[in-house]
Order: sequence, then structure tokens, then C-alpha cells
Amino acid sequence: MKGPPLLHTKELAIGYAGQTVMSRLNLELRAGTFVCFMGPNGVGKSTLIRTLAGLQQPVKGQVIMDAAVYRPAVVLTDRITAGYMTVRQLITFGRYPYLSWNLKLAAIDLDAIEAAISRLNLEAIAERRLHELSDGQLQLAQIGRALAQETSLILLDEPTAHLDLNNRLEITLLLRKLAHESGKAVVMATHELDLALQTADEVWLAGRGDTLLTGTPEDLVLQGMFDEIFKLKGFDLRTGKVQHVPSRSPTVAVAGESAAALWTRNALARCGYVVVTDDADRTIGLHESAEGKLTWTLDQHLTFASIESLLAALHGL
Amino acid sequence: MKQTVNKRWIFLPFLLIFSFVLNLYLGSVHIPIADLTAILLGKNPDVPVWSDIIWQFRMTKALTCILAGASLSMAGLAMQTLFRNALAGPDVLGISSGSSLAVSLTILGQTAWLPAFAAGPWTIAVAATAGAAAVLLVVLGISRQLRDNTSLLIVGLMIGATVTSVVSVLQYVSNADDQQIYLIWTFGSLGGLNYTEIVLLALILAGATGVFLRFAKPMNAWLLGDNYAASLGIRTGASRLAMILIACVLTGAVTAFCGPIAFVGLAVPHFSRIIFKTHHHLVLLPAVVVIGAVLLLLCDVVAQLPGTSYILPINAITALIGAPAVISIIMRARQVAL
Repeated sequence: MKGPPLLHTKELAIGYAGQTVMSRLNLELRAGTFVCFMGPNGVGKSTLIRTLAGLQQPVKGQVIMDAAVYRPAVVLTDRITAGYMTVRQLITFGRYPYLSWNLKLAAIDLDAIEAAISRLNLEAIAERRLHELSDGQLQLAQIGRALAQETSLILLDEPTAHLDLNNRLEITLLLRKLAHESGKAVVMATHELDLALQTADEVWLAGRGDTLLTGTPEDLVLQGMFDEIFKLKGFDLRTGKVQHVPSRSPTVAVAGESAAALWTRNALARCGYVVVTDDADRTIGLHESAEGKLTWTLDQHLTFASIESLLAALHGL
Repeated sequence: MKQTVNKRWIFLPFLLIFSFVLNLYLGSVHIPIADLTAILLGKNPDVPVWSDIIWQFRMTKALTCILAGASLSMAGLAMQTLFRNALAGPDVLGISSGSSLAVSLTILGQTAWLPAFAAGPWTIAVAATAGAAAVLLVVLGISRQLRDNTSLLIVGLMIGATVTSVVSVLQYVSNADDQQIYLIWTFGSLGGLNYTEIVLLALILAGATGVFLRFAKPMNAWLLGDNYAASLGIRTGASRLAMILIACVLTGAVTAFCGPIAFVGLAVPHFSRIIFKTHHHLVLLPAVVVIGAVLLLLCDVVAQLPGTSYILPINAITALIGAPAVISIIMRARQVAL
């Protein structure tokens, strides 16, 4: 996280006429950093993204941008109305800041567009029309447009909303890679707590008072900030898992460290058993045959072919 | 934006020339094609009066068709981009009604309370533009609160209804002669212009084309929404103003000289997008100009009922083409917004 700050704010206050949503913001954004910007709904995440991008005037204070940034690229939640537009044409919009009225593309523009397409592996859908794309593909095309803009700062407002887990992961990892490999600063507003904690170099956390907490995600976790702001209900941040309340009496131990052992423990915890390492009422053993077939043994004498049958037997005891 | 050379471009000029000649050729008086050629080349035809029919009547009408069709279509394209809505158009959103009200005020208001204005073509042109601008600004204000096509359309209809009722009141208090002038004007007429007015219309169209070319880039970016456009360095305020200007001046000018011609401005950008499958305004501009001109030339041919001495109001014909276009837009709206 070394490098000159691409952008910093000085006592910035943001909001709309007469209504300040965040104030006393003294943020610093360095090249090569992937920042996840989190906070409850309605806390002003979009407002800050727009203000940093220069699309909205600050209520007070300043956004100071390094001259090299020129104009930050943004990916917003706004919907696009041009259905005949293709992915390549959308990416071409990234070159608009450099084009004159006749929109003539120079070699350097075409190179930037091709580079964005190949960087995101969009070759196969480059000529597809936007209305034919899935939400995830559309989001990738928008990121492509931001890349083609060739600025050192990309601001994204909830780019992973409405996407399935796989696409969320793909886009988050991609953004982190972009930040680390091309020395861009990438700020992503997101609701994905678990993804953000595992990928972000830095977290901006809104929702405590009217300012932002910033820091390394792990520090903020240990300070209990996430619990305080999100009032987590049933999600254990220290383990990164959904909390299970023990509701069944026998304590159970599962031997082994394999993936199968891990998932067996998860299943037991989900069903309300207390999973312990020793002094258990019941012990479960795992065996893998030469053909890769798994069997579970309960208390060394009952054998089961699936977790489902194992659980059924345990419930019946 | 990268474009492959499009074969569709080749047939457009031919279509324009064909429609133009067809429009000159057909009419209530039959003029053989040989004589038509002679007249156009400046020679004398077999019947001297044919020369007058062509130059004083059919030529002005054909030129008016080209200019009015091109102007309304360009205005429609600017409005659809401005509203980011394929159902926007000069007549649909009540813009033409605004022009009508302003024109009726200048024509009908003579007897009532505005004797100071002489209802000359220039006064009517200015009044029609002002009327168009007034309604467009109201609709634009309302559209910011609304997101869906249908509501905007209903607002346009309501504004049209309001304006029509004001016009009825004006008709009630005005005298019979003025009423008749106004009524004929509302039918839409392409044949009433002299060469001076045609030159004026051409100059307005040329000026608007210049503004359009200059603002094609912002208009493309406009399709991404205000925020994206601004993030790409587009000055949204100036671009919005340019689109309003193009839409109002062109609608106002055509409405003043030809009456409120319905549906052309709505349907032609739609047809152009279907044919060229693009959002790019530098491609759509020549497309709407030529297709608009061709469409109005052909509508006028049909309106004349060739071989008879009847002439139908041009609006009756444009609506026959335009109404199905609106229905098709609504049917497709779920997939393609613009």
C-alpha cells in the first residue's frame, strides 16, 4: 500500500442541499489499493462515490485529485437505455473524454478498447447487444468501459448487487487484481461483508456517527466495528460463518481434517449439535475406500453412506 | 465507434430520388414522364400550364415534404434521446399541441384580444417555436419525476387535451373566417409554402443539423444517463439545452408552416434504428433525414389519391403509418428501450 495518494479529501462534507449525510471526511486513496466501502443502506455510499467522481458538489471541504488521475472512471447503478448498443460500443464510451465531436477513433483508442476487452476476456460477447447480456456480463462490460478510460482511479457503486455468488466473487477478485497489477486505486461500494473482509486491502466503513472509519479489515473486525454497525444477527465474524445456537444435547467429535470431516462438522453444527474435539458423547469416524467412496461410522459400530442417514440416526438416539 | 460499411446506405439515396420523382409525377393532372423530364430540364412541355403546375405547385410541395419530413424526424430523434424514451416525439408529448396553441393564439386571437400581431408566416413560426418550447419544458420537468414510458405518454396526452380545450375556447370567441383558417391549418398541409418559406425552412434545418452534428457525441453519451455522461466529460447542461433547441425550433418551424403533422417525428427514428441497428447519432442523423423525407414524400403521394381530384389531409395518412409504429415500440419495449 505504498505510493503517492491519487486522491485525498480535506474535511469533506457530502450530501444534498440542506442535508449533510457524511462529514469530516479526510480520506486518502493510494495507487494499487483495493478499497471496499461498506455501510448500511441509505448511509450515503452512492453520494460519496458521486462526490469523489466529481459528479456532485461537496457540501463543504474539498476533493483533491492528483493531476495524473484526469477523470475517475465510474461504474454506477444507473440503467442504460440503449438496447442496440453492443459491448464493444459500450466500452468505446470509455474513450469519449479523449475524442472530438466527430468521434473518430485513433489507433491509441482502438488499442485501449482491445486491451480492455482482452483483459476481461470479453472477446466472445464483444459484439453482443446489451439487452442480451446477463447481469454479470453487463457489469463486466461496464468495468471494461471504465478500464478503457485509462484512469488511475475507478469508483464502483455496488457492482456486485443482483449477481449470484460466483459472479460476485469473479468481479471482486478481478477488481482486486486490477488494483494490484495495474497500480490503479479501486473503490468498490458493496454489501458483501464476507467477500470484502477476505479481499479488501482497506475498508471504509460508514454508519458510525456521520463519518467514515477506515482501516485494514481485520483491525476493524477485532475492534468490533462491524458488529456495532451492522448489528450482525447470527453471523459470527471471528469465524466468518453463520452462528449456530446449540439446541441438541449430545456433544459430538469428528475425527480428521479432510474436506469431508469439515462438512460433517458444518452439518452437525447446523443441526444444533455441539461439536467438540474431545470428551464427546458420540464420536464419528470417516473412511474413504480405494474407489473414493465415503462412509461414516458412529461410535465405531454403526456405518452410514451419507451425512443425511448419519444425521437421521443421531436425531433418533 | 467502429462501423462496417453498410449496404443499406446504398439504397437510401435512390429511394429518396425515386420518391421525389414519384411525388412530382403523380397528381390530379396527368403529366407524361417525358414532359416532366423536359420541365425539370428547363424546356417547354407540350402544354405550357404543366410547367406552372410542376414549378409552382408540385415542386414546392415535394421540397416541403423533404424538409418537413427531415426536420420532424430529426426533432423526434433529439427528443427520444433527451427523454431516453422511444415513445417521445413532437406530437406524442404534446409539443405540437403547444405549437398549435401558440399559432391559434396568433390566428384566432386577432379578433379577441391580440390585434397587434399580424398573422404572417414569421410571426407564426416564432409563436409555434415558443409554444413548442413552453410545453417541452413542462414535460421535461414532469419526466424527471416519472420513470416509465406509459406515465410520460399519459402526461403528454393530458397536456394535449388541456391545450385542445384552450383552443376550443379561443375558437368559440373568434370569428368564422379565422376559425376556418385555423381548422385548415390543423389538417396539416404541405402545399401552401412559397419559395421564400421553403428557403427559411431549409435554413432552419441546416442550422439544426449543424447543432446536431456538434452535439452528436454528447447525445451518444446521454444514452448512458446523466451521471455516466458527466463522468465522461460531457457538459450535460449544454447538451440538454442543445437537444431542446433542436426539438423546439424544428417542430415549431414545421408546425407553423405545415400544421401539426403527426407521427413522423415518432416513427422515423424508430424505423431508422430498426434498419441500422445502432444508437450512434452520427449514423442515425443521415438515416432519419433521408427516411423522414422519403416517408413524407410517399405519404403525400398517397394523400393525393393519384388519378382522382381528391386530396386527403396529410395527417390522416401519417397516422396510418405512425400508429402501428407506436404499438410495435410498446410491444418491443421490454427488450429494447431505445
